[in-house]
Parts: sequence; C-alpha cells; structure tokens
Amino acid sequence: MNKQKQKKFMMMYEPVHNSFERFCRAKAIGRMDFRDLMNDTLLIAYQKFESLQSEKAFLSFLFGICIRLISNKNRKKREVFNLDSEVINNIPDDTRPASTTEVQLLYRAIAKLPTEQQESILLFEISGFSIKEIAAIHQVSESAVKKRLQRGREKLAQLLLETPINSK
Amino acid sequence: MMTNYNKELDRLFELARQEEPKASFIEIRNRFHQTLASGFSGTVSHWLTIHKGWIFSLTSFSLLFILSIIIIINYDYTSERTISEDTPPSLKNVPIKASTLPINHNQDTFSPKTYLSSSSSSIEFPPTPTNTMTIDVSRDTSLHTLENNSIILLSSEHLSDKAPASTTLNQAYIKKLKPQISNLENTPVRFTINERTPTNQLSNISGLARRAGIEYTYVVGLKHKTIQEFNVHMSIPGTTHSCNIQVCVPKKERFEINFGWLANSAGKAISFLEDINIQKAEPKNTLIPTRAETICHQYQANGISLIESNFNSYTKGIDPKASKDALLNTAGYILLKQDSVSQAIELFKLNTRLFSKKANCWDSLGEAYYRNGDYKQAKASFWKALSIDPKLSASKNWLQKIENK
Repeated sequence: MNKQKQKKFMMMYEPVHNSFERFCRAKAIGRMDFRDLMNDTLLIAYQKFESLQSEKAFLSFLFGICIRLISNKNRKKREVFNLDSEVINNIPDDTRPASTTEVQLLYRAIAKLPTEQQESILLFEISGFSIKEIAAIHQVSESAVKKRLQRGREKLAQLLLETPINSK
Repeated sequence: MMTNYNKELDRLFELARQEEPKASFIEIRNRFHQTLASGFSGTVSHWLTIHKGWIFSLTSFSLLFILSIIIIINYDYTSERTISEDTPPSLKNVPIKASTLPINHNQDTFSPKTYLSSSSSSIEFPPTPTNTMTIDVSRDTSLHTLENNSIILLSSEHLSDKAPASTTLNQAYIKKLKPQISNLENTPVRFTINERTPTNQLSNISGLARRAGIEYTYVVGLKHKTIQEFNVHMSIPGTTHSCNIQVCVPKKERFEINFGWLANSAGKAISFLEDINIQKAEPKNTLIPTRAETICHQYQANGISLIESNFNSYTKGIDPKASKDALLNTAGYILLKQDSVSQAIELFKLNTRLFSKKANCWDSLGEAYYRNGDYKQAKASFWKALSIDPKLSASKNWLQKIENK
C-alpha cells in the first residue's frame, strides 16, 4: 500500500521537479541546503498527500508547504557564513557548465527581496505561474500580486544593474 | 515602452528558466525513498496527527537530525574503526636539529639525516610542547654565512606531515637578519621625531642620551605646539663619533627624523646609527606601501598573531580618509608577488576578520585561494564579496574564470 502511494506520489512529482527545484534553490539561498528543503517539503507533502484535491494543483501544493517551511525557519535561524568552518551550503554548485554567474547573482538578489515580492517573482518569472495562480497560492488579490511583481523588479534592478532606476 | 532595466531583467529570468537543475529528479527521489525507508515516516505521521499546530517545525531538518543521532547512539561502531599505522611522528616534545645548506648541494645523493649528524654547523633546539617550530638562525654564529636561498633542514626523525623537511629563507628575511647578526652584542636605541612630537618626549631623549654617556644638546622651534625647527648635536667623549641633525620646515609642512645610537651591554653608547635619515613626511596615505612592507617582514619573522595584536599601531599616522583595510591588503599582495601564497592567505584572512563587511577584502582572499589552487574556498570568498557588493565586477570575473576551468 505504501509502495503504491510512493509510486503515485513520485509519478506526480516527476513532471514538476525542474520547476520545484529552481524554486527551492532560490528560496534556500542563505538559509539552508536546497536539497534539504526539497526533501523536507516532499516528506510533508507525502504525509498530506490524501488532502490534495487536484493533481493539477500539485506544484502549488508543494510551493505552499515550502513557503511555510521557510517562514518557520526564518523565525529561528539567521544567516551564518563562516569560511573557516567550511559551511559552503550557500555556494552554488557550479559543476555544470550551464550554471552561470549571472543566474546565481540573480538568485542572490531575489533572496534579498521582501518575502512577498521574492515569492511572487520566483513563481511568476522562474516557475511560470500565472498571476491568478499566484494570487490563489498567497491568498491575495491579483492586483496585489501585480504590485509585488513590479516592486520586486524595480528592487532587483537596483541591486543588480549599474544604473539607478527612476520608478514612477 | 519597456525600459532598459526591464529588458535586462527579462534576459536574466530567461537564463534562469533555461538553466539545468542542480539536483536531478533521480537524486531527489532516491533521497526521499531513503528517508522513508529509515522508518522516519511512521514516527512523523504519529506526531503529525497529534500535534497539528507543530507540523512544519517538527518535520524540519532539526528533527531529522535528532532522530539520526538516536539511531547512531544505539549502533556499535567499535568493530569498524581502524587506526592507521602510518601516522607520522610529530614535533611535540622531541629535540629538533637544524642546519643551513647551500642550495647547490647534490640532491640525488644528499641524506638529510647523515648531513645533520655530521654537520659541524647544525644546532639543536630543545623540545617544545607544540607541533610547530620557529628556527632562530641568529643563535649560532656559524649561521652568519647565510647565502641567498639557504635552506634550513629539520632532522628527518622528527618530521610530521605538517613540518617541512626543509624551508627556504627568502632574501628579504636574510637581509633583515644579517644586520641583527652583526650587532648581536649591541643594542640599537632608536627615536623618531616628527612635527607633533611633544616637548617632554624631547626632554626624555635628552635624558636617555646623557645616561648613555652622550654629550647631547638640542634646540627646538615651536609654533602652535608644532615643531618647525629641530637641531641636535651628539658626540661620544673620547671618540671621534659625532652626529649633527638640523631640520627646518616651512609652516604646516611635515617631517620625520629617525636617529639613535648603538649601546653596549652596560647601556653606554659606542657609536651612532648609520641609517639616520631625515625626510619630509609623505602624505599619510602613501605610508601604506611602506607600512605594508614592514608588516610583511614582521609577519615572516614573528608570525600572524603579532600582526593582529599590533594592528592599531600599524595604522597610526595613516590618513583617516584612507581605508585601513588597504594596509593588510597591500601587504598580502606583496607576499603574493613573492610567491608566498600561503602567507598571503593568512594575511588576507586576518583582513577579512578585521573588516568583514569590506567586499574587497573577500575578493583579495579569493584571489589568493585561486593562486593556491583551492577553488572551493576561492569561490566561497568571491561569493561572499558579491553578497556584500553584487556589482563587484572583479569577483564576477574570477568566478567566471573558475567556471571556465
């Protein structure tokens, strides 16, 4: 019985793995190893699998759990960077040639955004969710999501780009 | 109309979307199954049903860790432990034999142990409670004949995996050492006077000179408590040794005089120092290169802890507008230029401890790690620099260089 459940769970997970991985990688920066975050999220999702109402909502189901996990961690931990003890979880794994410095800088800048803007940017720009879907995940209005996206982009521009931005 | 920054952000987002995942589906699936197979799921589901409000904190990484510890405590690892028979002996609590060696010895036939046993110029050092050894070559007069790149050998009986079989003295160290060796019996007494030296300090020097048997007279011209004229005459009675110093600087100009004498073991002056120099003081920020050289010499002679404890004294006189982190940064690059990479790393590490929020310090450390072939640590340093200043193009370029390797 458990094996069947695991099989079904993984079959549902496989198509959304890439999107979920990117999201966790971005959310985990400065907090923890993103693989741990993915594993923790999957474990909880597996336990609550029966409560999933629609297979189509599986990815947003995972995102919701992940967001709450990070939110709870933020209350307890602060970022530690210690070269001497070789805590290198925050270092991007650059073993693959496709991984560029620019993308990693982008993720680090996203990590500096306020939580709502950060998640909206990740879900919309990286994971390809619509504004309507993001509004449902965060339980806010679509106009609120649009504002978060706009402000998030302006802030990213200030963090990453050389020229200052004149916002409206 | 889209602004330029929107186009650039869109480009970056597109790059991110196209990026291959770092963790494959198979990797995550296997890890997930392993976690379930360890019996974790049963425990967690019990907690989940009873403590709904604590669901997410209890299933966090910390709980996984705690459960792992419980499992480990109950497992007997003794039978699996192995102790290496090849652990090399340490330097602790054993006498060390050292000697110099010209660099052009025959490396094929040379035996350090035989040489040290027979060498008349080898010296023994008593046991120390630590695993490191500082060789003071000034102890033995036979070591006065140090040539450039002389090598200090340690006895092969006492080598550890950390101690080198031989170490090469660099030229800067030898140059510094030779004047000390020649003046082993006499103590230099030095003073530095600049335009802000207080008058009571001038009186103290006068008193010290007289106690050293020097006929000492001086004249000072002050304006607004700043020395603008300083004349001193010194002579040692019964000898031909004498010294005259005259400084007269225009208003608001700066100067520095270094002078003194050699004293014998009784404290009496026997001659005046030959390196007396008078100079118009450089603008404060140009003190950095010369101070950095001083730091390099003192670090190589006495170790990093002295540099750390005396750091404030090194920064005295430096223009307040200049960044203090530039001092160790410059010193580190001097050592890099000398190919003393591991020493440069230590200095850069100290700089990051003192100025942890300066991106440039981390960038320099990364560069030193890169030179040392330690790309992991280099990447960590560059990323730290970028976390402080995301626009630091030097660190971005270094990271790209590592990626291209």
